[in-house]
Amino acid sequence: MKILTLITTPLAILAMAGCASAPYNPANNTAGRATVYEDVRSSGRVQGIGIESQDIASMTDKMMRDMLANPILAGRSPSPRIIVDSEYFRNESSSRINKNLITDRLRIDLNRAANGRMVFVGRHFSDMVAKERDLKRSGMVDGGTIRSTAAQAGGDFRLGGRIASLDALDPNSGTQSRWQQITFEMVDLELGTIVWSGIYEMKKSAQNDIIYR
Amino acid sequence: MRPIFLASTLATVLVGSFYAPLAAANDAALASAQQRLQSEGERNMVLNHMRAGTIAFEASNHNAAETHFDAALNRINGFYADDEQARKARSLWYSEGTKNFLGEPYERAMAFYYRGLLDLQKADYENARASFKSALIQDSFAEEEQDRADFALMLFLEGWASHLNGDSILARQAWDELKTMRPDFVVPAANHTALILAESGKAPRKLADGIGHNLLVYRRGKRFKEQRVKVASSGTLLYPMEDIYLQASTRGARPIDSVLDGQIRFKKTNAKRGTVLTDVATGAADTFSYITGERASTGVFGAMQLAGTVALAFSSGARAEADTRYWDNLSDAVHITTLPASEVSDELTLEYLNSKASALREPISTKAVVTRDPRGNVLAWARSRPAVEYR
Repeated sequence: MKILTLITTPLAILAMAGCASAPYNPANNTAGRATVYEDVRSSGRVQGIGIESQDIASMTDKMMRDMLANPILAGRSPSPRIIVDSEYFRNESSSRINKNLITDRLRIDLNRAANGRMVFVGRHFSDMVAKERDLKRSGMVDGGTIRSTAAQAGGDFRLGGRIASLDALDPNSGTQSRWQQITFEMVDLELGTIVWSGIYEMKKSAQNDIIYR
Repeated sequence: MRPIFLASTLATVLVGSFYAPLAAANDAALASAQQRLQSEGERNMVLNHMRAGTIAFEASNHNAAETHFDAALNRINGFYADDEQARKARSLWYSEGTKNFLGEPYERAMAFYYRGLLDLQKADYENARASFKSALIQDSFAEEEQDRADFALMLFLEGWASHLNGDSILARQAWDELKTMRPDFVVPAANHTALILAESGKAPRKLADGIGHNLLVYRRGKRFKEQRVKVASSGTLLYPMEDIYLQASTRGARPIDSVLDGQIRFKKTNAKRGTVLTDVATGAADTFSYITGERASTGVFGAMQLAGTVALAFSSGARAEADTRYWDNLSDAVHITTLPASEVSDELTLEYLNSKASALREPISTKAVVTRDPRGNVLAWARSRPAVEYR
């Protein structure tokens, strides 16, 4: 009997000490983490179900390759003038996004890879160009060293597209999923025909801890 | 000449002294909310960003409002799996309030609402629409099927963002769905490009109910009478589009409630077990002493008493209280009306009325913050109670 008492007494005291006064620490006193570079083409430490860096990198890469393989866009002589910006690239999805992240990357990647097979019109810089042309024509500055033209460049083709999404939620499990479809279309700016189309899609799902559902 | 000069000076001073404290109070409240971000840390980070964002939004401090709501939404949009604070909050020995605050669905939805309004003010209609859609998704977490995604305000605003963006088909789709929830709502005319939004009342409150304070219940904000709103100059009555308290209180049981319920059962079982064991041990020891005339040995009876004490300790150590932190500078309801942009004055005053649309005994009227976005469309926003009035 004494042995039983000897065993149970310290155990009970330990249990009481441990349970009755669980420490409450409101502050997250983690030691933190030094800055690290992460690969933009891989999933980072912080993830959601929206469009992330790896999605933009892989979608623009896919579209660029596809466009360069299209003879209407990349096999013409003289090289076609193309406008790639976010003006006609619509976001109809439930993800907030700066669309320029997609269109800027696509234009720059294309411009570097096309090597003159496509000429890109900087329509988003047209104000800047107009101001300089006015200064030149008014005689405030000289004519520069390249050439003078009657007007700024007109485009042959322009990018249009759409980001759309479909969300689904299972309230029982708290699992949320989002299917996103991003379409890219190159439009003939005289005829209105679509000379090239590309599509990129992804579906992501995640489940929150029960405490946050 | 002199009396006129004196009167005008006095008037200037009075008007100045009326508005100056409001602006000063707003600055002080924003500073205080930002201070709380630092002092209360990650646990209350989202809550304090929501509070600070609301104060900044009211003061038309767009940059600060965007910063605060973006910070809150980045956390809300993240997924918390295998999270240390969540694991603690689920355990027996910590209350639910240990977790990092992310808000209940209605609070998350309202954070998206303010983010969407900030986008509307900048004519970024597509991202505004994305925000309102995200708000609707948050509302889909309701347990009660009939209350899922019934946040009419967000549906209206999704349609409004599409309307301003020229996406008439998308606007029509959203408003057709809205009509199923608000049949009496009149869809904005094609030439309406100004939206007046007015918020009334005080935030829904969260209380812990039940014997172990494990049940989360909602109560409407206290001490306010305003329930309707009209435009002071024209008398146009705004449409009461959303009751935020109703959104909070109709969600139904939360998944975490079953965990808290289990903890309460554990608490009760151990309390009962502990009481029985200690009572039996004491009674048996007394009986033993009475029959034998000897003092009861500490062996068997002592062990029983000890086991009882341990069970009682487990019971008192278990924490099952529901988390009652809430976004306290939200409003109770949102009212809307739309009209052509040319008909909205930059000096727009809204008057708040009781539930029967009659004047209040203590009249309340506020000046709206009127924003003409880069495309010439108008968003006028006002609230009956200053956002600085919170706990």
